[in-house]
Amino acid sequence: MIVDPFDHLVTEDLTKKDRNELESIFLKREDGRILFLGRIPVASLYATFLAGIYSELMKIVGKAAKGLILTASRNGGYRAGRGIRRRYQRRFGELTRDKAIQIAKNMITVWDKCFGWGKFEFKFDDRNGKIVVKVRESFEADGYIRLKKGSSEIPVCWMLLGYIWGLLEGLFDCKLNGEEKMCVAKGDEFCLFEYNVCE
Amino acid sequence: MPSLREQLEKILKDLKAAGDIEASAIVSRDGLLIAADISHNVNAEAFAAMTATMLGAAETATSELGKGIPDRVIVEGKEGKIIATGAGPKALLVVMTTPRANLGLVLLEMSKASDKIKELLG
Repeated sequence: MIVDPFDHLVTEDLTKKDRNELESIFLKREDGRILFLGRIPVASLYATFLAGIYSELMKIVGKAAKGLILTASRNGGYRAGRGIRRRYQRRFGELTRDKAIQIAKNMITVWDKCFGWGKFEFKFDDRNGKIVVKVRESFEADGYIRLKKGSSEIPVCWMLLGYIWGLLEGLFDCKLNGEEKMCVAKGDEFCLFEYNVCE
Repeated sequence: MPSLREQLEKILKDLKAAGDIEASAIVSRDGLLIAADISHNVNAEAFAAMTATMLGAAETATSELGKGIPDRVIVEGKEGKIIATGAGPKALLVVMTTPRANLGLVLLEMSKASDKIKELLG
């Protein structure tokens, strides 16, 4: 029986699955291309590629580069989260907070194990609605260090911070506050993103 | 004692009350929204990123040309003006005005508001 990869994403706990299992569900190789969810082309890039773009952008617009990348990533993440939410609602009905959190964890697991974006730990504190995402081996921070051969004064995981931020907003259908509290590129042990309560 | 956010929102509200200003925002230098008095039809986060980029690009351009750091960026259109100015080392103040706004008056009010923001945010 052929099962739509989307069903795995929204109905299972994928966090315990290994890379081979996840790749067999979500990635299809076709004539040199890699397709995610059977239809979305994805590509691998040098870890330094994004860091290089950020660096060039900063030469043009200064610190505002962060806002541009973060906002664009957040909007992209939002569209992905909203798309998943709507498709889920059409298929299965109401998307509860707990289910949305599980889907977010599943998405992050796929990025972790299939795409090498970093090693993620995702925690949701039900008492204050705070979501904490700890990232080891963030490819953005790693790319920065490799490119600059030194540390940064500010956190640099703008794309990851923004994309997860938007994804959560799209899944939860509400606004969040987000911040990168720690970053390996700054010399911290790991990168840490915090997202706070919905309005 | 009002919170920092409330104090910043009060500054924007007072600015609007001075007249000719339709919307305003306080934005960090790296383009993130701090506080806004903007219609819900406008994506405030995107607006923040755009205006910080405008000022950032203007700063790069004038520095490259040896003309120092600009005091402000003014974009004039038929439907109104967008004015972005520094409000201390950490923030910018951005306003959108009516088409026939009294520019001198708006700049004066913005200058006062920027000083207050600088006091609050450093």
